[in-house]
Amino acid sequence: MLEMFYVGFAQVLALKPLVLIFLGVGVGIVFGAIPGLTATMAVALFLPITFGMHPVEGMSLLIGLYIGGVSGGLISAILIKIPGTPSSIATTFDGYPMAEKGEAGKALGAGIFYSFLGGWFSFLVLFFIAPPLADIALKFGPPEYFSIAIFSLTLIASLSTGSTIKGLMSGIVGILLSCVGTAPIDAFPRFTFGFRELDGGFNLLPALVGLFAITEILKTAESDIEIKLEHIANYKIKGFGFSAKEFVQQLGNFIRSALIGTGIGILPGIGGGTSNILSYIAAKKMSKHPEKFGTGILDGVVASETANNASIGGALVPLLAMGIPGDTVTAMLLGGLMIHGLSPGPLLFTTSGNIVYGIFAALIVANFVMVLMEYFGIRFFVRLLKIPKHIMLPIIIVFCVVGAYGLNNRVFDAWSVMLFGVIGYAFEKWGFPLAPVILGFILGPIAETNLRRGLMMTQGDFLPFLTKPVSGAFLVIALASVVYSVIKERKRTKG
Amino acid sequence: MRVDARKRDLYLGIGFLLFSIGVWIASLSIKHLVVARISSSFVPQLAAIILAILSIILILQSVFGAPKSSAETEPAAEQEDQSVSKRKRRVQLTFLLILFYLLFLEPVGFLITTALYLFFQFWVLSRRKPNLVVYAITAISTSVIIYYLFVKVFVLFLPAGILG
Repeated sequence: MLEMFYVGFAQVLALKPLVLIFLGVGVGIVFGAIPGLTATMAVALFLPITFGMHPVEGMSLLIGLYIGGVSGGLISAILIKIPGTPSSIATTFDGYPMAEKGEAGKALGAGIFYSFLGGWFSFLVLFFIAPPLADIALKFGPPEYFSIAIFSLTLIASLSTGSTIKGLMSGIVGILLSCVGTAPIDAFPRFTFGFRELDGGFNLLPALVGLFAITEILKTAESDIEIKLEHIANYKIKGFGFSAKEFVQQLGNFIRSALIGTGIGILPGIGGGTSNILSYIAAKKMSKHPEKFGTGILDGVVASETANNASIGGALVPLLAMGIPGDTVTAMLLGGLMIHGLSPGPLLFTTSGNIVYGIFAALIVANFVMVLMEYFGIRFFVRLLKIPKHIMLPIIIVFCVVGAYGLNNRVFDAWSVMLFGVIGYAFEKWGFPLAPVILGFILGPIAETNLRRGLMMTQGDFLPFLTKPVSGAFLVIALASVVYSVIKERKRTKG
Repeated sequence: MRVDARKRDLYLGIGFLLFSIGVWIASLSIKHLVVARISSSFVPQLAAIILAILSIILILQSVFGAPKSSAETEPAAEQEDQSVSKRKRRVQLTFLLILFYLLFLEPVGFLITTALYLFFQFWVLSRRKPNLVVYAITAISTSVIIYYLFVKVFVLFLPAGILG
């Protein structure tokens, strides 16, 4: 494994990948810091640019964007009480009160420091879990992949915010959208209605860009919120703002938050947006002084910022080991690998081990770059919060169109961006979560292909899907998670 | 407010039920291989059935269910009618602008369409007194920078249109 890390670092520690990591982290922090722009969007917008790059260079850029995007949210969360991304929602609970008490520098310093540590923790988990998991996954056949895909789909639907029914419906719509085009196995066209452009189906990239970026600009057109600079809290950073004693006090909180963050990251479909809140709640429940939460104490910032960055490494575990994305950003990274002809999954470690370890090295480097940039560049990022949104968002739309167009040089893909944008906006308005749509879109074909391949192997007998231990177990858990969340929801709506 | 959310869910349930029936009908024309136990229409049809069941549950929930928990109702109540209609107009105009942008992208070309789109989109989204000169300069320079960045640096193909 160590040799592979040498190989990885040798690829990343060259001028071009390093420049790309700096660029990625910098742009990522900007996207993270500005409310409404997220890590998912940052990665989506830059995906097309990576076409022409070497895979490791492209992934370095995307990893930089991912880490920067998750880490930048704390700046606006602490200074203007608006979370820059969903990953930093819980950071506002104690971060902003700290800023009001004149401890903005301490909150920022701790936020940055624990983001870094949380990231490191999850990377170690990733490095030790993903390779052996890939070894196990190598022995998986179609039934196992089918069951894992179904498990992931039900999990994301039932864990996403709001109603389980709507979450499941979103997932199904995603599956149906993925059905458009040529069917797997026998290649018959489905739902193309005679349009030749639809034969290839919708591309992942326009789907992602439309669902997340277009939806966002339409939402912004609708909202009246404007950031006013007078509301930005004063801050002064000195050191990381907290003492060695405080570090020792926070150790338990850190470990718990890092475990929650990594664990949530590993679960398919949910990431930093969920983990920061869960970890904050856990920290409050376990605390000796829960009443102080929300008044501006360090514990809250540590819990939230550790967990959201810890979800990064976690989310990469199922992506690299099994080809199943752990959250929306890793869904995008999946696209990033696929445009280079690499299909994430257990074989990736054997066939393209150098790229996997290049990604590992990029994670470590990007994490260091993140601390440096966020710490020394904070004045610059705060200034960017001033750029008016009515200037910024249209430019982002242009990037979306360029990216979608550049994919195949046809306007059809730009139209798909629009279609998915409309779906995203409508779903958002109707209270349907968006993440299950994209997961359904990615996992639907995986489930279908493996189901049909598996049934060919068993001569049409479904029983082996249930009797094979791994496959059966995942199907049982999938069923249990749906039943559990339906019961929970009934209780909630009744009680 | 709560009643509205439930009514909305009722309509949504009916809408999705109709949609799933449509999917089912459309899936009947998918060709079959005689030998395969499960053909290409299996997954779409299964998905349509599940979607129909879920829609029915949504309808039942909205008719018989207790009021929705607060998490699901829209956060902001309708403030002033004026600002609501303004917001709606902004969304509609944004939508139309993007539509026109895509329509004219290929025939007219990237540089001109993008500059025009940006200019009008800045205008539509601005909340204060629009500064049209600044918008025009920003729109044109952004369009030119993006074009050269992508075509020369990242070697992506963009429609040149009437300038090409």
